[in-house]
Amino acid sequence: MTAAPDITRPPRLRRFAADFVRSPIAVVGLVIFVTLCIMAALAPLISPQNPYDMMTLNLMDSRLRPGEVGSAGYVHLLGTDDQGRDIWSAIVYGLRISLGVGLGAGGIAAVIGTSVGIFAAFRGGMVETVLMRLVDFQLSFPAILVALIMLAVLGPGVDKVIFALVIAQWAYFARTARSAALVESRRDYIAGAHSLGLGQWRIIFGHLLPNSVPAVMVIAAIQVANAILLEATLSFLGMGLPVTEPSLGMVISNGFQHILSGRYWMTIYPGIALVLLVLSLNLIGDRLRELLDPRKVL
Amino acid sequence: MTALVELSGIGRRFTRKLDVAAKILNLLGGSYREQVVHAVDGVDLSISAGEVLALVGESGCGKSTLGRIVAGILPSSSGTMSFRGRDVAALAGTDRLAWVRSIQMVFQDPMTSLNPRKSVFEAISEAPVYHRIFSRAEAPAKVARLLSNVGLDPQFANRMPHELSGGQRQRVAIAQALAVKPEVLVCDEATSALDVSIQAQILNMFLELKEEFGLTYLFISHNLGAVRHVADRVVIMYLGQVVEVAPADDLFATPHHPYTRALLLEAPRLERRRRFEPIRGEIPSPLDPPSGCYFHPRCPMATDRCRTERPILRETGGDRVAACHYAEMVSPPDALAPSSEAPEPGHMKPGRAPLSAEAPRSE
Ligand SMILES: Nc1ncnc2c1ncn2[C@@H]1O[C@H](COP(=O)(O)OP(=O)(O)O)[C@@H](O)[C@H]1O
Ligand code: SF4
Ligand SMILES: [Mg+2]
Repeated sequence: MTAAPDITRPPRLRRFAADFVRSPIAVVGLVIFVTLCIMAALAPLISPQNPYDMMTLNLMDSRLRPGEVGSAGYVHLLGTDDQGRDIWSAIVYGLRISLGVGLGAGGIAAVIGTSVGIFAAFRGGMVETVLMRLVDFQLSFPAILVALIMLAVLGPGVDKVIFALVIAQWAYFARTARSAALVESRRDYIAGAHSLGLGQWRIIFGHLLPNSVPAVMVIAAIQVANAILLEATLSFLGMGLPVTEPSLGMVISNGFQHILSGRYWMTIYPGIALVLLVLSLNLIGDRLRELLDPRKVL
Repeated sequence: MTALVELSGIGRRFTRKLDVAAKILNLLGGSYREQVVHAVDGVDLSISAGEVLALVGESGCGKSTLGRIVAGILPSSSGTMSFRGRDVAALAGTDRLAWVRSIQMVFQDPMTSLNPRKSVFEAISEAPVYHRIFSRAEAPAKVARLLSNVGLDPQFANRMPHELSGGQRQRVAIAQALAVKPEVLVCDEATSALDVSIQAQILNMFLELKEEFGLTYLFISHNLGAVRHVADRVVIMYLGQVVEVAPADDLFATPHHPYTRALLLEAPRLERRRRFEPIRGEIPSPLDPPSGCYFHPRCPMATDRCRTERPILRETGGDRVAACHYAEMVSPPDALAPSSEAPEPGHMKPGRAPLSAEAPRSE
């Protein structure tokens, strides 16, 4: 405990990064995720057509196999669908929407859930009991059911899907943030902050929140993956996004009608993209959990 | 002397609530009760301005709980506490804030006493800037000054807690407390997690700071020997209750409670060979304290009276109180000890001379 201070120790973040990359599988996950993000960001640059601009579609090109050349003169790497839409382009644009909805919903759920959880831990008493009962109640239903009910009530639309996903997921963040904040609030520096006369908002935002964020980050990666999957499921069921915002789930759903006629590419390739996206987030999340596990001796 | 802090009948209970399983079993005829611990039980105490009051007792006797109540971190569940003659329960707004700031606490565990995400500079300057004790512009100079007060180089301002040793963290924690200009410092085993050599340095620093800042101390320790050099008065606690209060010199020379005497015999002393005479018996569970005198199962002087009649805290002469039926008959600690040594100059009077001349920065 009284060892000489190790001044040469690198800052937390760099040490954390160094620890992270020691797991090859997590690095693979990170590389896949970053690649998919870049693809989504650069969608117009790396896809030969805008698959939802009806002007660029040509029915002549419909149901081309992967590798065939279409009427516009370029190769359809992953084939086309029944409307002549380039599958590769549909995947890249679909990624964009799936990622946007997943990150958006996960991010909003994280902010709301974390605030509720930390506030509950800080206030204790009735406030905590009521909020956590609400969380327990919510968590007793499967997220997909909550989302389906919300959408049945709200109707379709990107904002409504995000809203439904936030409603389905905030409670996970609230529970995690509360237990992390409870652990922190028992530490002496929090008692010290009270004793120094700092106000409650200062203690919550300046002390409890920054120290509870690591625990929230762990589930954030997994919950973003879950949000993407939920959205894909909803779209597949035809309950999600409008046709004008085709996510991966909808691309898969469109292609699914043709799988029995042997046109596997319309659904397998977008399926692979979805699996890679969700898997990479889970790999990252697992590694974060390993590194940030409170029981781990730092 | 004026009483700065006055406690009267202060108690603190902790209730262990029943879990769902126990509640269900109770419905089926089980008999699980909520467990109540009286961590602090009816404590009367006054802390005078400028004194060093030591609070000593075995681990689990309620010292930290009492210290936290004094520091205003933990509410008491019974009794009243006043600060400068005003009941703190009646304080509100800026008066309350002034009281809270006036009493600062230095915690035992240097690993958790600082926010891991704030630099030393942020840790020390946050509260005083928040309270406008000094401005953000003045902060660098003020922080540097506070750091040198606690024996650290001003360059430490840029460090993060994980870059500091245990002793350095405790110094930063003290600087953080001093920054809001407190009158009372509650030091809860503030040195016991540290290396022995560093303990002495930090103790010396407490004494120097006392002079410089005009501080009053509540000095908590489980080791009676460790407070010998610093305390003006000593309070001995056992199972949440005060069993003896006396000026330090008197208490070390002639304890008025068998428990104090046992602590004196147990206290490891650097200057003589460790002659261990542990207090016999287990510490009773505070969930289910013994009848009569709480100390009777372990007391060598216990009689039938002790097993049934609870001794009250009573005056035993010379500014002293003790809770023992036979306080006047307790023998001095050296009466049994054949190898008693000549009193060394440093330990009888809490002389303010440093314990060692070592520079505090070398840890
Ligand atoms: N937050 C708490 N909840 C339940 N019991 C507690 C709590 N804090 C302290 N106690 C109990 O109160 C008693 C006194 O604890 P403490 O004040 O920490 O003693 P000390 O500092 O003398 O070791 C112990 O029995 C302890 O288990
Ligand atoms: S009252 Fe009896 S048991 Fe209690 S300390 Fe005194 S002699 Fe021992
Ligand atoms: Mg303690």
